[in-house]
Amino acid sequence: MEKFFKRLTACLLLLFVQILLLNRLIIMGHIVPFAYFMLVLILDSDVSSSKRMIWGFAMGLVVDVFMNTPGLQASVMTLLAYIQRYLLRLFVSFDRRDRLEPGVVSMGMRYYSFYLILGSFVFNSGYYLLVTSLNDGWKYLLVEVLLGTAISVLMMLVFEYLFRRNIRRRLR
Amino acid sequence: MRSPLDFLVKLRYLMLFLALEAVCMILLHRHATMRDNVVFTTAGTVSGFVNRVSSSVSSYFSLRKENDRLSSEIASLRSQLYELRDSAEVASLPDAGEGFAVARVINNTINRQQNFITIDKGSGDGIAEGMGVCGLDGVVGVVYKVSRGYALVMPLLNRNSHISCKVIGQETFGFLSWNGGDPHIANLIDLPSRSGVAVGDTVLTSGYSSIFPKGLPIGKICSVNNDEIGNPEVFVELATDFSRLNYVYVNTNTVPDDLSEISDW
Repeated sequence: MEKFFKRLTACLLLLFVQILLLNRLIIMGHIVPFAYFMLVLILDSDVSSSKRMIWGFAMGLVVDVFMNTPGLQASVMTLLAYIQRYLLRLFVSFDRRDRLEPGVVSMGMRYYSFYLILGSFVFNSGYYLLVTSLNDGWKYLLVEVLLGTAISVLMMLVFEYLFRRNIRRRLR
Repeated sequence: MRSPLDFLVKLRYLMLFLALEAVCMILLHRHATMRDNVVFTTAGTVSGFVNRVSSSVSSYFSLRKENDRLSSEIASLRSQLYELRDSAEVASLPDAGEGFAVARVINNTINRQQNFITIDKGSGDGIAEGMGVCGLDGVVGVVYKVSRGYALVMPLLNRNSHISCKVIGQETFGFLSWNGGDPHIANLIDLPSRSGVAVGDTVLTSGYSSIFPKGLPIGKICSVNNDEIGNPEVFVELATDFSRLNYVYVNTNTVPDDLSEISDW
């Protein structure tokens, strides 16, 4: 139960920053810096897939409400939550019984960064594929996805250093 | 031998994933097709309240800037007033009087393909779907969804928005649409070939329906490219600066069922 409330606090903090700050920072005219999906990426490996998907779906839906895109963010977040464990297995091996908390401490800076880049790429690809008209051309879409991914990774690394160390200390 | 139940248990995560995705698709479809559905939008009660509080806080920090802008706008409008009085083609901009309700913009996007504006007036204030919305400088959009306290406006900066308009002096009619990208430029489509429109011509509302009164400013033609057979590709610089929109006027005289000016929404 304690874990749930700590996760909920992190979730509310990320949503607060995303909705009231990041959604209003528009980069190069139309790139929205997304970082709230970090919670799904850093969920412990022992959290069941169903719980992960419900966390992702709920967070996506809250952001949807404030972006007038009901279902869009929720859809991409559910996909990310569904494949999170497979993404994690690409960079670190763990057993079903192991409890791995994805982060710099457990994975090392290099692999953790690769993991965040891949996760961000999946999220941004899903989002921009759904919102960008293909009439604008594939190059336009690719630039949006790559730029969105780079900004998301940067924001998540900032969050990592600002908040997660404290959260970890509290968990101990 | 494994039972079919074991098989289903093994696929339970995939089934949950597909079920959640199906819910998302239904929500997206309902948002696009059902205009009376304000759930999961910024016109909802909770999200509307959060946006109102957030907008109040952020507008407080920009009061000085806003004050300077309003002072210069008043001076500019005073000088324009005399010119507009002489022009029979251009209707006067709306006062906050009979037929127009003043509303504050509490949420606004200009960087997406499907932009929306949320205002702090809803059905409780007499706002209904399909009503025209304009700002000090010209047309803003049409009310899309309404809850009791808030309304969602589909602005000109939305790919599904089509506003009937005419070019002053040419008696030429067309539709204004926006294809994404620059929030200051829109396209004038369905103009007759060799219509004679030129850079600098003023584009106004046609008044073909009651959504907007005839002659409200929309913008000025900034570029005209004719193709081989003389069909013009016309770009319009919008009169309204959507990035600075703080207050709007809703035309409450609109007949709600009259949706002839809008398509595909």
